[in-house]
Amino acid sequence: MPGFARLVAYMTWRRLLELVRYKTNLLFGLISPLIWSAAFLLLVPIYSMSDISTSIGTTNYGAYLLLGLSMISLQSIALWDGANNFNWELTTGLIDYSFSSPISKYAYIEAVIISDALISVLVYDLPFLLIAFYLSRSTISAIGFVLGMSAYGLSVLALSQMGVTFSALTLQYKNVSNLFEFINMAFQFLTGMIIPLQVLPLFVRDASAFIPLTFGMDLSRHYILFSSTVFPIWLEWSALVVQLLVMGALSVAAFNFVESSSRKNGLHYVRTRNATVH
Amino acid sequence: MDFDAVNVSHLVKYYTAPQLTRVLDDVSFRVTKGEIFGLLGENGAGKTTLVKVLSTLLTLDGGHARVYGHDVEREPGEVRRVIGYAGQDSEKSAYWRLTARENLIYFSVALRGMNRRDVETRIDELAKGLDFSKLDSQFSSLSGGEKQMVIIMRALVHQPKVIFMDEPSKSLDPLAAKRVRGFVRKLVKTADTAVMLTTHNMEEAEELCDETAFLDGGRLVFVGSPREFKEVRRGDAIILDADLSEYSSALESMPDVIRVAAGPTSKIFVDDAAEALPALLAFMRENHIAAKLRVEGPSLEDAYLEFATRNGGARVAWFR
Repeated sequence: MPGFARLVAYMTWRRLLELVRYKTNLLFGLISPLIWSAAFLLLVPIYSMSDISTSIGTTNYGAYLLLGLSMISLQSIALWDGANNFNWELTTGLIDYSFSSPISKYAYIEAVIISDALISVLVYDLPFLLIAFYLSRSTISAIGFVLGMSAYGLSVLALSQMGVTFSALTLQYKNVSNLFEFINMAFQFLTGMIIPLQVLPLFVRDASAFIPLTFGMDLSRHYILFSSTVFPIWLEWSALVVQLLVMGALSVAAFNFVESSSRKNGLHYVRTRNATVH
Repeated sequence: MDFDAVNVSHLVKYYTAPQLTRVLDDVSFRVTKGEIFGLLGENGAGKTTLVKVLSTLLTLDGGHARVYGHDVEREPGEVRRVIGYAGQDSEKSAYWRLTARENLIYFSVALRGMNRRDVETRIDELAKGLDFSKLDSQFSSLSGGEKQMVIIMRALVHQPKVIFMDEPSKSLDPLAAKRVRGFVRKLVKTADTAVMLTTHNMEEAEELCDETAFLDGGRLVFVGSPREFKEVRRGDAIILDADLSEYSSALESMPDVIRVAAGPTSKIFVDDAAEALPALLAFMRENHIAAKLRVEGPSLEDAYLEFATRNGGARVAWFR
């Protein structure tokens, strides 16, 4: 198995083992999306009352909302799993082992994010997606499913590049949890996960164009529900690919820079700054 | 190819934060293949920093360092391929809900690209060699010493050429520490591996190391065999089961007495015990000191204390 695929496969294996051994956590992880699905489906009448179907091009509000909702945990994973992983490794000292192993550190953190995203889709997001697919059974087609999920996956991959950059910030500044709260909230609002971008002010739509998840979500809704897109379809696909490439290049550069600068004073610098160096 | 396992030449390392500090200053030494090299020194002497530079976790600011023929600055990837690393505070550094075996498989296959079947065979060999019977217990259920044993196994499982161990026996019980020492000794002999370890355990250094080095304030002040290290502390130690704190000054003014280390058991360091004893016994009689007494030759611990208590002006450097 090639190196990166093996890394992702073994990380996923490790995460699954951990998941099934923390039984209470697993149980509530499985129950929560079902409860959230039911809760959000209760919001559907509000959408119906406001008659936003003319703006978004579909009346299948339930599926529309659930496709957005399924992105919430993926957004969090793509953006912050790498940073959380480094925080944990800094606390336990594992970072010394992982950074003295021959694997590329960029590949390592990208694999952390991808394996957790896979677990999230397979375990936590599955109820959202299955209910959404069921509700959209009259519009979904095989090609629509493939295109929709491709856009969905591509946007998570592009967002994970931002996540690698945030991981680098964690290596440099150790704790960036307030930045996490700020960006997480902003992205949930700006990408149209819950409130469609078409009904939000124009400047919000402009700002949303800088977040890859906007396009992934918009395109997947379009291919599965035949909803109208915020921007022309060709532009959304192009933007998604360009964002993946640009953010990928930036994240590799940022990560390499921070990795080499953190080696100057040690990865544990903050943790040991008040202790004797030995 | 003929090269050293570790070759360090005039190495300098600064920390720039929180303030500019020179942590390693003109450090030079070599470790040959098949050798166990013990790095001694007080807390803050620079031992861990040196191990981290050689493990590519820190950059160096001057000089050169090569591990198994690879430059640590220019070829960090090559260095990482040939080293095994067990850090000082790594007792918690594994996945708690995975078993010891699953942890070792994960780290070796995912992070080092090893073949899973080879890894499983190697894990069984290691467990047998180290007499470790808890491979299938979750890491969280292991004792501190057992966790440390897993971390040591993690550093050995991929059969590295150079193994760095930072205080490896810190949380091991004496029996487990002895097993690890025996295993490492055998490994070095059979697998042409070199081991570099830091330790405060003088028994470990004496039993295990072919060569020792003493770091003092970032400077290497001694390199030589444990026997040579012991000889740095000249003379004998007269040990009394009595606290001689109140007599320290009087004893130190006696001829032949070099130094007194008072405590519940006190040590009087002398040039020659045979010459010093009559005067010492007279002193004990005069001061009504009744205590059991024995004489010991130089020990590694005494030599360590001698080095550690010397000030910079009295340094002795032995370089080969």
